[in-house]
Amino acid sequence: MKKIVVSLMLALCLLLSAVALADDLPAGVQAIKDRGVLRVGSKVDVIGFGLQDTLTGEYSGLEVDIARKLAEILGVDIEFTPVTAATRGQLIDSGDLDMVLATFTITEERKEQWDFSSAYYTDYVSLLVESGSGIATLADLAGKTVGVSSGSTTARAVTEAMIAEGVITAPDYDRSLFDAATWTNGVSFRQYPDYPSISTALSGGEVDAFAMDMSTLAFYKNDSRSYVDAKFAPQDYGVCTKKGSDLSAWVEGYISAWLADGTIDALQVANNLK
Amino acid sequence: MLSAFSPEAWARVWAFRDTFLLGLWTTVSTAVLAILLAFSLGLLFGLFSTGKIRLLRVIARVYVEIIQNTPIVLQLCFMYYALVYAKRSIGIAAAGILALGIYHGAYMAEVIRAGIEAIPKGQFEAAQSQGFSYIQQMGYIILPQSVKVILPPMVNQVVNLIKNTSCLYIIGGADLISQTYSFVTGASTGGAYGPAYIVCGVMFFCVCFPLSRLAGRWEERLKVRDRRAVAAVSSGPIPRRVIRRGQKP
Amino acid sequence: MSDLQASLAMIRQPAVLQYLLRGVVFTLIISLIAVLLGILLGSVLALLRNYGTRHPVARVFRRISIIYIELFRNTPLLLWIFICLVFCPVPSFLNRKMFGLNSAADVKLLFKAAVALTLFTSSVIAEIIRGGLNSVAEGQFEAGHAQGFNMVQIMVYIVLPQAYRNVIPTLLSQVITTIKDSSYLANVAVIELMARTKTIMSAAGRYNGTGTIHVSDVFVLFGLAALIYFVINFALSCAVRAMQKRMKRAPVRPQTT
Repeated sequence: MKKIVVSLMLALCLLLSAVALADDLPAGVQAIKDRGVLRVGSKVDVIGFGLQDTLTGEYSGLEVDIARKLAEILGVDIEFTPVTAATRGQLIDSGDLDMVLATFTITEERKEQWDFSSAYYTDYVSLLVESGSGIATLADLAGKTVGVSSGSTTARAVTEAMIAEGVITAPDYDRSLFDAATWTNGVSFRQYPDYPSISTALSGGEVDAFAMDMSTLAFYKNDSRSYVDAKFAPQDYGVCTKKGSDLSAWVEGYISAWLADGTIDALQVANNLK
Repeated sequence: MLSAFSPEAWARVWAFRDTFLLGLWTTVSTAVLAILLAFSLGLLFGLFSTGKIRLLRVIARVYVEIIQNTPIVLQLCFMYYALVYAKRSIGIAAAGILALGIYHGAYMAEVIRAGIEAIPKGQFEAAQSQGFSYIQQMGYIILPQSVKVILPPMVNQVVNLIKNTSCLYIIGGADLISQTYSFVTGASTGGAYGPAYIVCGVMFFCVCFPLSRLAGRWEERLKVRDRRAVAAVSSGPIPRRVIRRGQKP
Repeated sequence: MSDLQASLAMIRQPAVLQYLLRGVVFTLIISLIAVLLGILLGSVLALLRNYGTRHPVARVFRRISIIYIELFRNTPLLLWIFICLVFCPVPSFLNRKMFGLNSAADVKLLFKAAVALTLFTSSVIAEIIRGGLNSVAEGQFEAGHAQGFNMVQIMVYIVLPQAYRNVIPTLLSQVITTIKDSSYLANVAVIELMARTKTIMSAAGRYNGTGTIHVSDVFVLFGLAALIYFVINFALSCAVRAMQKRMKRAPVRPQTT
């Protein structure tokens, strides 16, 4: 049974990629081809995913590699724009970017606003603390202040993990009304425009912990900092495109094909993510 | 993206109204404390720059020039990062108050200096001949007279200070602008750009407009009085240096 | 090697220095454009606000200009930057990589942010120019009328030139304010000096070769940026003062009697 499903999916992927490879590309994709450049939003400070050398401008990482492969198929140049959690959605909405590969977690709410491909990587949320702080588990976080990036789902993930662990009791918790700015039950949050600001705030004692996807935290881990012993809220990273654009299906065709044939696995290995 | 004028977008802003009120509260309380600091610094350095001691005049000049010729965003980042990496962080809120106070203190100092210099020399001499000490001269004679010259530009500085609380965003403040931006980009709150920006703008306008209106009125009245004085004396305009917003002394 | 030496070595790297200096160029260009366009827009606003009282249509425009000026003067620049980021349309010819920026999206960001800065600055400049207009003596209008000039001619040939002349120092000091205001752009894009300084700062550990960020990096990097801003702005403010002095010595304004 399983085999049949897999082979059916493979066939579907091949079909989709065949459609995509056909001469008559969807209008939106053709427009990119005509323009001669694919515009991609990426992270500049996430090792293994999207990292830019500020001075040379060179990008590297899994997301960068995937984007380059897509551009290669179209036969166009690629242009990366640094995005943060707070800016990436806007840049897709305004049409400034064709797609965003920037550790963008697929969620139900976001799916209402944008299109996402299948997940090319699954990450987890954790917390980074100063080693001397005595915070080692989620229970130790009670009453503490956590720094998160504005525009991310992290604050909610931390709150829900603490509720699940029984650290916080919130019987009337409603996730659609959760707002990091005003949440004070058991833990409070501060939101920052970018990751370096959170890292600085952690150094300055402004926040007790830095909560983020582990891939991002790795960049800010140093000898005097340690992870909290908790790993929760799986974060599925997908390629984000404009809602309802024909580019979405085209991208999905390739991503699912590459997931099936091991291309993405190989890229993950190449970027030390596996 | 939710349309700017769709009912859902407005409903979302309404559902998260506490976020905006919290931001407004942070902005106003930060501004009030910063204004107090700016006023104190302004008075101190304003007196320094009009005093007789050369060293103090130089110190006041250096303070005003350095602060007025560099951006507040840079000053705030400089101070905050320096304190953090020196392991002496005072927190974002306190750093914001300090930076805003020091920045606008320099402008207040110039306002107060101009106010004192607008008082005719004869007043100083008269006060001196009455045997008043420097402090008494200033406290009883000079400053009360210059208040009407000082107030309009000072209120304008207050308005600028309130607007400049937005500089806190760059280090991760909790002020109205930062809260608004976190809201519109938030995972569960995002999308309602139009209404959120309108609400934020209206909040700022409601705080700032009455103040700048008040300053404008005072300034207008001053000018009318000047003109009358000119008409009465008919010997050319009285030199009076009034610093207006966006204008450097 | 001490921390300070490492920090100094960091900014001596040609790549770092060049990266920052390009930021200086952007800061200056953005500010100049904002002020120049601000003078154009501000003049129109100021004329409408001051003299749009005769005709009913003119009165509508006067209302609009008052609302515009008061709206921008009483809300923060950063709000307008955020608003332009989402709502400002960008002409399609800007939709490509240029000006040495990394991507077309950066070019668009630059355009949007510059629009925000221009709109904001124009409201301040409008009030400066209004001050200049108010300083032009009534008699000048009468003289113009007597020469058979219409209102537009009076404005263009007689009133505006005098008004501008009276406010040149104030306009120049507005350049200083705008250069400082341009640092607010650092919140949304890495283009001008402030943003570039902050970007280097956040990765200072990599560039100074020690792996961690020290307090000396803060002083060296932000200190350098402060010095650059200071030199530019202080030079401008010296020019402003020299002009003010000269204008006081030789009053060009005809006095009413």
